[in-house]
This record gives sequence, structure tokens and C-alpha cells, in this order.
Amino acid sequence: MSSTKTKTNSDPAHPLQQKWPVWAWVLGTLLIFFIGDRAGGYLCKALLQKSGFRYSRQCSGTTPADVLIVGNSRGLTFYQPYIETKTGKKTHNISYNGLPIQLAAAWVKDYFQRYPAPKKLILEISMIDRDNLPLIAEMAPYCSLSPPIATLYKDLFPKEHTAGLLTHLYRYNGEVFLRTLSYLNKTDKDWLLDRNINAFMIQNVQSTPVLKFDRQDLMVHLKEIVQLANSKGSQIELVINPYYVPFLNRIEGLDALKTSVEAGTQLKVHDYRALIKEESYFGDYQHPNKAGAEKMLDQMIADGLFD
Amino acid sequence: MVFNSLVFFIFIFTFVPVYFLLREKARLWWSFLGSVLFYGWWDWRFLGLIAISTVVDFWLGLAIDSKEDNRERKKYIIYSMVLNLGFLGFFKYFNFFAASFSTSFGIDINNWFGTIILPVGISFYTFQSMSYTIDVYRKEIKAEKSLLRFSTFVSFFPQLVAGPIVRAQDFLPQFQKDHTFQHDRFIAGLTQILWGFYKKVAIADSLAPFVDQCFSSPGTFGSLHLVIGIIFYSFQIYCDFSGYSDIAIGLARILGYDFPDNFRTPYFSRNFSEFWTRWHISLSSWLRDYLYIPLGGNRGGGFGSLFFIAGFALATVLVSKAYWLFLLFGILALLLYFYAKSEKSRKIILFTYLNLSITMLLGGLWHGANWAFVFWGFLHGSYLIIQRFMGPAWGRVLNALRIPLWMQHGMDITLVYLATLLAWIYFRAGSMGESSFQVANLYLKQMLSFEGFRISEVVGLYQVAKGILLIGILLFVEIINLRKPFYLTTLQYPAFRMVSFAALLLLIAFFGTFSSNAFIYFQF
Repeated sequence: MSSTKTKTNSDPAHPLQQKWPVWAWVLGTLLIFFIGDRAGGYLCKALLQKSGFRYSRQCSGTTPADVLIVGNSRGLTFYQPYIETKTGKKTHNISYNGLPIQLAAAWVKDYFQRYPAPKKLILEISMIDRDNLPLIAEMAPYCSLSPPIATLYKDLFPKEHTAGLLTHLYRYNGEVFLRTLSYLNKTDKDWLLDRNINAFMIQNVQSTPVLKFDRQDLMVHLKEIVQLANSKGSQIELVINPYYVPFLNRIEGLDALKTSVEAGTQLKVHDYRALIKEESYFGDYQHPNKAGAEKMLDQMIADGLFD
Repeated sequence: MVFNSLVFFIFIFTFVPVYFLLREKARLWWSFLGSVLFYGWWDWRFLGLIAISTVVDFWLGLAIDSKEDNRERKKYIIYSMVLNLGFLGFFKYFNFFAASFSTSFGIDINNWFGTIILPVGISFYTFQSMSYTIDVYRKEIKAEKSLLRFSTFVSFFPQLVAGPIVRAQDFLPQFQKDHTFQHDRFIAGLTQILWGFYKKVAIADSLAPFVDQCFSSPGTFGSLHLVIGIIFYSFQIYCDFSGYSDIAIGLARILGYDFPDNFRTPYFSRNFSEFWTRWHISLSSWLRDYLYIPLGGNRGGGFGSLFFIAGFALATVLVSKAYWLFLLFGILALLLYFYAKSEKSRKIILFTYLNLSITMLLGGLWHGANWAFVFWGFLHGSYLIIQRFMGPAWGRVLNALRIPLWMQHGMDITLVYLATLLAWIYFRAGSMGESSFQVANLYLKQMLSFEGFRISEVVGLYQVAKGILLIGILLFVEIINLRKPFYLTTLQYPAFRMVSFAALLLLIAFFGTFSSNAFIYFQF
């Protein structure tokens, strides 16, 4: 925008200007904004419902499953096409990068409200490491589709909730909605981080920041999930997925977390953290790649986790 | 108080109506008090600092103006420089020099004083205030007689914390007018404010997470990811800073004041001299008028140029502890001395290069107390020198190859942009403290390794798509704006005004980040 040192300077009216009173064009602007906002909001909601993204599929009522999988990005290692081929069971995976346990609890609650209880609920417990409010804020698009998500969002972000009432487009302002758009004509069931850990990461593993598990306060949400699943008759399997083995000594508090999870839920945690030794099975320190995922799943299937 | 916060909206919706209800002196008092509240909202303790700077410079301005004797005038201007640069040096650079001193001599001065907090906007209001006393000293303006007017000039809230740096000779006379509400100013100002908010809230803050991730661990990303990261940073910093300037200029325009442009589509520059007439114009013109030209500019130089460059060389050697550099610099100085000794024209060229380097090095240091900022300044200084040295030959080569003019312009713009990107790597890393050089070097090495031509799926694909869309809209509007300023069209056509304002609001609602992220230039 160029500055207008001379052209607008102190002239009572610009020669080019068609005079409209301020109130008229301000009102007109707001009216156009309102109409555009509501039309945009309507379109976004329609696109959201049409998307093949995991939460859109869940809200559309098309994903009844035998196995419900919950986790953060490490939970996406449960490669659904492979599980379904190997076990013949239907799966639904609500894992997401950085998914905090309280948000997971809301999505699990939503699932149990919509569908018959799954036979199994598998939860990867390394998600109990942070509360990740920004990601919960990103779930605003689903407030109009999921009552548990709407309740969580309204409790944590009352101002943003009000803003979402004033402008509907604001609800769709975020990365999660952009993701739903990229799955408009396809499903994300087969998404997996499929790459090989790079040389830099291998060389610098011992200087990478320590990963800490010190959020025992978040256990309460895990207990909520366990109670809900138990009450509906679903069997729960708690697991720790593999880490790149040299990275394990950069992790603090995982044993303490495992102990308190087992004590708090009275369930055994299946610990696969050191299952895979070869670096070619990893995409990075915390995520097995496709080959690693298949190796992990073979072991889990052999151990009867999906039975 | 930052522009993109709820409290600012409450402030401005209260301030503006009352401002136009008041008249003359009452309005000036209202502007001053509003500015005090605006600045004090951040940390009221630093109001004392700006008050001392204002009162002393006001008094020194009167003292300089009242003296005819040049030695007396010089004495007062030195007082002003010592006070302003002393405050700036202490609050902005103390930690930096203490750390450098500690590195060089092993004595930790920080233990004596503790860590000094940087008052927001000190670099901007100090330069603005200094320009006043210097202009009075040079007899370019008369001293301001009203302390209220002068205080409002220094602390005027739209541009107080991040510019543009407005010169006294441009701004002070505007306080003499009685500013009434004007419809055309309101529309032009609002256009610029909305555009500024789009740049800041929708573009800069949307690009920030991707850029932050790239710089937090550059070793974990592939080349393409890092290339996009630095391109995004170039637009993040442009939109963040020019967005602030747009809001400041727009606000001032509504209130009846005209501020100079601070940015003019800098990434369309065809050479580096042009870049500096389009990027942070108020600072680069300040440095030109109050540093480069007094040093001798492109007409030679003297003790000042040698003093500054020797100071930088000494500091480089001491901090790097590479004492062999003394020998290298010494030999270089001797060679240049003998080269320039025989011919006056050579001497002038050398001093021009020295003056350019000093101006850009100090320009880098102005941005922050970090050697990475200094290196950023060094790079830009080098670009200017290389351009002067090689520019004519480059033009002849292009002409000899019969490359069409439009393609030559395209190549020039691309080259300037790429060189600017390289410098931005060091600039961005400069805000990362002691490890800034390591981060920048690692970023550059990893980016140029040409490994990993994909965007990391987990963090970035969606941010990249959004970033490209937002930057696309920005470039489209800026190109249109080159032909006919946007505000003129909004003034002329009410229907266009309503639709474009509503569209900007919709874009902000859909893409904006509303977590009151501070503007990058606040830290400078």
C-alpha cells in the first residue's frame, strides 16, 4: 500500500471520490462480510462432512470397527490396511500428530456415542506426554458435528467459541480443516510416515533434546477412556510402540509412566519400545516407517493383541 | 499494547472518537496521554527512560538553537548523542558486549549488573529523537518551543515501538494544524490498516510456525523443506514489519498525520541500492543522512571511517580469538594503503566501500546485539560493494548476449532476492542467542546438501499450501498496487470499497492467527 502524502492530504474530499455517508458503506461492508461469512461457513461444513479424513469419517457414521486405535503420531504406526489384511478385522484409527489424551478422550466418547462398542480398543500410552491446547483449538471445525468436541472446546476456549459464533469462517481457520480438504476424494486410512531416518539424525542422536514423560496429571483422562470402554464391554490393550533404540536413552520417565498407567488402570502395558533394532525400519527417532510398522504389527498379531 | 490484541481495539475505539471531539491543545494532550498509556501498558517503568530522553533532547534542542557559537552548539549536540547512544548502548548492547568481553577476557561483567531488559521500541524513538537534535544543530529546523508537542512527537503511539522513524522536520510542523475528521483520510487510512492486518495476522503469523520449526532443528529437514522455510521467512518478516508500518501509517492518516512510506515492494528490486530504497526506508534513509554521508559517503572519508572499521576489525579478532586475523587485516590495510596512495580516485573508491560497509555493519547491529545481525549487515555491505564493482560489467555481459530487457530485469530481481535470502538465514538465526551462527551455518549446509526434495509430511504440507496461497494473494495485490494504489480505488468506488474491505475481513477471519503474537521488530 503506498502512502499518500500528497493526494489525500487535508483535502475535504478526494476529487475522484463518490460520496457515500460513512454509515452507509460501513453497514454495506458488514452486510457483505456477514453474507460471505455464512456462505463460506456453510460450504466449509459441507466439505468437512464430505472429507475422507479420520474424524470426518467418524462423524459421518461410516466407520464402525472391530478395533479402535488411539494414539498420537506414534499411533499412526498401526497401519490399517496391513492390520485388516492380516486379521480380517475392521479398524478405525483416531490417532493424530501430537494428539493429547484429553482430546483423545473426547473423540473416544464421540465414537461410543455413534457406534456399537468395538471389540478392542488399543491405546499407545506415549500420548500421555503433553496437553497440546493448540491442537484442541484446531478441532473447532468439528464442534458443529460432535457434541463431546464442542463441550471440550467451549470449556477450554470460551472466547474463541464466541468468535466462532460471530464468524463461522473462523471455525474453519486451522490446519486440521486444511487436512480435511486434502482428503476430499480419498481416505486417510493408509497414511503412514514412510521414509528412512536420515544420516544426520543417526549421527546426532545423543545430542538430541531429551524426551520427558512427566505429566502424570493427565492420567485422569486415560482413566476416563478405560472406564468408558469397560462400561461398554470393549477390551482394552495398552501398548508402547517401538522407538529407535539408540534414542531410548534420550527418554526420561517412560518407565515411571508405564508403572503408574498399570497401577492406575489395572491393565498390563505391552512394551515394544525396543522391539526393532535395525535403523532401516525407522522414519525418525519416534516413528517406525512402513516396514517397521509391519514388523511391529506382525509381533502384536502374534502376541494376540488383535484377537 | 500490540496492535493485534483485544486491548488495543478497546483503546483505539475509545481514543479515536474522543480525539475528534476535542480541539487543538486538548487534542494534543489526548494524543500524548494516549501514547503514554499505549507504551506504559507494556511496562510503565520504562516510561521514565523515554521521559528523560524527551525532556533532555527538548532542552538541548533549545540550547543548540539559542547559541550562535559553533563550539557551544557542538558541545550540546555531543551531550545529546552521548545521552541517546548511551541509553541505547546500555539497554540494547550491554548484554552483548558483556558476553563478548567475557568470551575474550574471561571476566563476567553480567555478575556486576545483572541481565538488562531491552525496553521495547528504544531503537526507534532514540533515532527519532536524535534526528531532531542533529537537524537543529545543522540548522535545518528551528527548535520546538512546546514541550507537549515535542513529547507527542517522540512518543506518538502509532509508530512509537516499531516505526516508521519519522523525522522532526516532517512531523513537527504537522502538529501546528488542527486535524478534523476527513472522510477521504478515513477511507485511505482504513484501507491501509486492513491491509496491514492481513499481512500481519493472516500471512506473517501463519508462516511463523513453519519457519520456527525449520530453524529449531534444521538438521532434521530436507533441502526443499529448508528452501521453503527461508522463502517463507522472507515473506514473514516483510509482512510482519511492513504490516506494522501499514497499520501505523493508516492510523496516523485517520488522525490527520502523513507519515512517509516504509516499504515499497522490496522484493521487486533490481539491485541492492534499490532494495535499500524500498526496505525499511525510514531506517535506511536515516543511516544514509546521519551516518553514511557524514562519514564521507561516496566522496571520500577520513578519521571516522577508519575509526569505525578498525573498531569492527578489533572486535572481530577479540571475540573470535583468531589473533592471526590481526596479521591478515594489517596486511590488507597496508595493501589498500599503497593501492590508494598514488591516485585520489582510488582513495575515494576505497573510502566509499568502507563507508558502505560501516553503514551496513552498524545497520545490522541496530537490529540486535548479536554477531549474526552484524554478519547480516556485512553481507548487505558486501552486496553493495560487489554491485558497484561488478554492476557495469554485468550489464555489458547481458547486453552482449542480447538478452531481452524484461529477462534482464527478471534475472536481476531473482539474483537480488536470492542474495537477500542468504542474508535472511543469518538474520533469522540472530534471534536465537549464542548458537545463532551454528544454527545459520547448519541451515545453510543442510539446505545446500540437495538431500531430501520433499516436505516433511508431519509438520509442513498444509502450512506450505496455505503459505503459498496467502503469499500469492499478497503478490497479486502488490502488483496491481504498482499500477494504481489500492486506496485510490477504494476511495473512488464505494462498491469496490465495501467488497474489498469485506474480503479482507473474511481472509483475516479464515486465515488469521489471533494469539496476539508480538511483531518481530518489537525486539529491535
